[in-house]
Amino acid sequence: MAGSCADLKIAFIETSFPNRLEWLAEVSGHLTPAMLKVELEKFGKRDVPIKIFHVKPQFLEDLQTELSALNDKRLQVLDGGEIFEF
Amino acid sequence: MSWFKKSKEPILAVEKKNVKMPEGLWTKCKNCEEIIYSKEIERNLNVCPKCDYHFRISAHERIELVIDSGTFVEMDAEMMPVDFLKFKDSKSYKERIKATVKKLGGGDAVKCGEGEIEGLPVALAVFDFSFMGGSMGSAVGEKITRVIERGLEKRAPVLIFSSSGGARMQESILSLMQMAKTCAALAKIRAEGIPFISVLTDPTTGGVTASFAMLGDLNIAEPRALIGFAGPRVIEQTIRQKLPEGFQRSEYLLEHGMVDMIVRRQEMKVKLAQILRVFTKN
Repeated sequence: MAGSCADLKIAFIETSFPNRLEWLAEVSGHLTPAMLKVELEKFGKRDVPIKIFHVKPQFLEDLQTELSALNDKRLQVLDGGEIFEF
Repeated sequence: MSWFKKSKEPILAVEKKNVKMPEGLWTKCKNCEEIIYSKEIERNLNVCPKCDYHFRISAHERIELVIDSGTFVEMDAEMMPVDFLKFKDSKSYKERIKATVKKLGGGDAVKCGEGEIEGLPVALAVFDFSFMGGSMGSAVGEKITRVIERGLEKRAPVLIFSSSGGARMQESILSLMQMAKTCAALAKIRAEGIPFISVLTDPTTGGVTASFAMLGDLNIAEPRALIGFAGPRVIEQTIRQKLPEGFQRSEYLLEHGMVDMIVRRQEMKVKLAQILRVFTKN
């Protein structure tokens, strides 16, 4: 649905667990970087920045490594407290 | 002279035998309304064997179910509610506390301590709904905060089983401030990467839902638990619309992304151990 929005400026999507915890992500309705990749392919829009939230602090390092490995320059992990103005 | 005459003796009522049924032998399930032998429900961990309805259980029973035998050490057991505001409705708060303590034997609506689940240490808080509806007053809020801080100190995951009607109205703003206090304590453990697992049991409502109970790294619910902020009747009256079937029940919340998973009581300990291993990399 977001992919069909004509003037989309930014997209927010959660990624909670690292790839090795795919079972937990599936059971709890969250995403891993590998699952995110599939969603991003459906999303398209190569020029829209994508902000990642809901990262579980226990897996922050693993997630950062796995998200970097996706080699997608649109992705940025949010720390919390950021302000976006449009 | 009468026109009609009784030719036979009137039929007499059979003398009623006074059968005495011991109280509590049978329990009517609140969900399927089946009459079930109480011992059968107890053997099934207080879950209806016919429809899987999870009956409410005490904090003590809950601890017995999930914590390794002999590992639970209670903390702040002596902490009691205090009537700061000299609050009185149909009965004074002081009297209510006295009556509840007399009935349940001390403490407050939450039992806190440390223990182990399959050998993994946890800082644990378990609500007891039978103590003034599991409401959160200043003593409950303080106990929750302390158990979170114990988790921080020992770097042990924090596990809270909620079952509460919300903030304790008899303590007014003093109970409301516990919402902020407990959330602030959780922010500290989050910054340190210490996991917090929240288990929502029937019912988890009001200020407890609106504060720490929904802030778990994982929010787990028991089947068919009522979880919400305001009750369905209040919402219906406010928005003047009929609410959908199963609204505010665990299954509805799972479908709408408000809880992460539903775990049956029989599987709770195993599932918690599995999750704790994942979150602590054990």
